[in-house]
Amino acid sequence: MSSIAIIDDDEIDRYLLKRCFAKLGLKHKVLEATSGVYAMEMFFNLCNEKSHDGENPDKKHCQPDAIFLDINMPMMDGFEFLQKLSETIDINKFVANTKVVIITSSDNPKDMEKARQFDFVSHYIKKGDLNAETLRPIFDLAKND
Amino acid sequence: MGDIEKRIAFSFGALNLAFLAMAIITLIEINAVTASSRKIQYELQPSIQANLQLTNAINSSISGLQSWVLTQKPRFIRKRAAFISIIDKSLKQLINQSQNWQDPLLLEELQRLEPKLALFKEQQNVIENMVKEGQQELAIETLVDVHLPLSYEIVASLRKISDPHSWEIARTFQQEEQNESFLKNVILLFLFLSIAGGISLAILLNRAVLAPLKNTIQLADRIGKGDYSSTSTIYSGEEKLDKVLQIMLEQLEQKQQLNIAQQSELKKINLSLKYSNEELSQFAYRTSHDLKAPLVAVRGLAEIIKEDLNDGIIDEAKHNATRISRQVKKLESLVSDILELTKADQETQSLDDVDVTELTNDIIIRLNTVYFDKQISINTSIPNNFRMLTSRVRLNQILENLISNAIKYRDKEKKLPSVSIRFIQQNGGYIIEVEDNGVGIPEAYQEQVFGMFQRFHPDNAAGSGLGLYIVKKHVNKLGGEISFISSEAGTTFRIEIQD
Repeated sequence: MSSIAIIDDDEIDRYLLKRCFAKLGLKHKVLEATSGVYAMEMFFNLCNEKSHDGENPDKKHCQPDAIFLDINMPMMDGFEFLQKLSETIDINKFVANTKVVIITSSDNPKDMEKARQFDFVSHYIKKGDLNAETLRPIFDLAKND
Repeated sequence: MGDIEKRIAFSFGALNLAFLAMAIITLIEINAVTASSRKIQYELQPSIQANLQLTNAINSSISGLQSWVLTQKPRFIRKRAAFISIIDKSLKQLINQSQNWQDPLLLEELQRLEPKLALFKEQQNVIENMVKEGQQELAIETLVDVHLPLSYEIVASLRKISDPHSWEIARTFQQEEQNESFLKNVILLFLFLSIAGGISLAILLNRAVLAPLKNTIQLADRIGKGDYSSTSTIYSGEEKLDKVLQIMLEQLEQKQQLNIAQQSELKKINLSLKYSNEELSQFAYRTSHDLKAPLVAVRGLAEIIKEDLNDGIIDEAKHNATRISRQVKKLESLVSDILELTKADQETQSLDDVDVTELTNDIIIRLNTVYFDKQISINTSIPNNFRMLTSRVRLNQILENLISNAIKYRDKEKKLPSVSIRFIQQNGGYIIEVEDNGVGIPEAYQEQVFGMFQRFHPDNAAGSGLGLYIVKKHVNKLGGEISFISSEAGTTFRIEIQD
C-alpha cells in the first residue's frame, strides 16, 4: 500500500494536510512524525521490517509517494532532516519514487534560498496557500473542474 | 646657542686659530731668514769684498814697486799707480760700508787705518822717486825696513776688520740653518696639527651632528612606523629638541594607547551591536513566523469548519473549534512572552525589597490554578524572613518561567511529578535552584537551551521557545549566572547572583 509522510510538529497543520488528502480522494496511508529525528527513525524502522538496506529500490513499501516536510521543528529542523537523509541514502534513487515537498509558514527568504540548495526538493508550498487544489500537481492529478 | 652649535663653532674656531698661528709663525720665521740674508748680501759681503780688494791692491802695489825697484821698467810704475787707485776706491767702499757697522772697535780700527794708508802711499812715492834718482840701494833699504812693516801692519789691521765680518757671516748662516730647520719643524707640526684637527673635527661633527641626526632620523622612522615606545634614549644632540621629541613621543604613545583602547571598545560595541542586530532580525523572522503560523492554521480550520457545517459533520466542526481556541491561546501566550522579553531587555528596573517567600508562594498559587487538574508536588526551601533587594519583576519572571517549565515538561511516566525551589544564602550572594523530576533536556540540545525560540519536545509543543531565553536575560541583567544539570532523572537550574 502506498503512503504519504508528513513531518511537522504542529498537530493542526498535519490535520489540515490530511483533510486535503481526503478531499483529493487519496487512499494513501499517512505516516506522521513530529520532528526530523522521529522521521528518520520512522523511515529506518519501516525499511527494516523487510530489509536492512534502506537504499534498496525495490523495497517500495518503505518509500512514501511524497514527503511533506515542515522547516521549523524542534530538535531537527527540515533542512537538517534533508541533509541527514541525503547523507544516509542514495537520494537520487530515493526521489525517483518520492516527491519531497517543503510546506512552511516561514517568510524568511533565507529559508527559500536554503531549500533551493537541495535540488531534489520538488515543491515549496506556503502554509497560507495550502488547499486541495495546490496539492493536485504533486500527485499528478487532473484538475478538478 | 645650542649644544651642537657651540661644539661646531668651538671646533672651527680652534682650527682657525691653529692655522692663523701657523701662518704668523711661518711669516716671522721667513722674515728672520730674509733679514739675515739681506744683511749678508748688503752689509757683510761688500765689506769683506772691499777689505779683500784693498788687501790685494796693497800687495799688488808692493809687488809692482818691488818690480820697479829691481828692474826699473816704467810699466811697473803704471801698474803700481793702477793699484793705488784701486786702493783708494776700495778704501772709499770700505768707509761707505762702515756706516752699517755696529761695532765701535771696528770703526776705530778703520779710522786708524786711514792715516796709515796715506803714509803707505807717501812711502811708495818716495821709494819710487829714490829709484828715479839712482838711489836704488836706499830704495831697497827703505822698502824692506820701513815700507814692508807698514804694509804688514795695514794688512793685519784689515784682517782685524774683516775677521769679525766673516765670523758674523758664518754665525748668520748657522742661524739661518737653525731657523730653516725650525721652520720645517713648525710646518711639519702644523701639518700634523691640521690633519689631527681635520680628523677630530670630522669626528666631532659626526658625534655632534651626524650621529644625532642619524639617531633622530631613526627615531622619526620608528615614529613613522607607529612605534612610539621610548625604550631607547632620544639623542638628537640638542637638549631642547630632545625634550620636545620626548614630549611628542609620550603624547603619541598616550594617544596610541587611547586609540587602541577606543578601538577595542568600539570593536566590543560593534560586536555586541552585530550580535543584537542578528538577534533582532532572527527575532523578527521567528516572531512573524510564530505569530503567523497559528493565524494561518486558524484560517484553515475555519474553512474546514465551514465545509463540515455544510456537510452536517457537527462533531468534527466542534473538535476543530476547540483546536482554534487552542491556537488562539498559543498566540496569546506568545504575545505575552514577547512583551516579557521587551521588559527583560529594558536596562533599568527599580530595586525592590522583595519578600522571597511571599513572591514564590504567589507564583505557585498562580500556576496551581493553571495546572489545577494535574497532580504535582511543589515544595520550597527558603530561609526564614528571607528578603532580597532586587528587581521584583525580574525575579518573578525567572521563577515563574523555571517553575512552569518544570511543570510543563513533567515526566508522565513517573509516579508523582515534583518541583523543588531552594534559596540558599552564600557569602556575598545567593543561589536559587529549581529542581524537577521531568523529562530532562536531550544532551544534544543542551547547548542551545538558552537560545531564542528553542524547543526540544515536539510532542509537548505548547511553549513559544522564548522562556529560558527570557530567564537568561533577566539573570544577566541582575548580574548573575545561570546553569543547569539535566538527565533522564530530571533537570536542576541553578542561578548564582552576587550582591
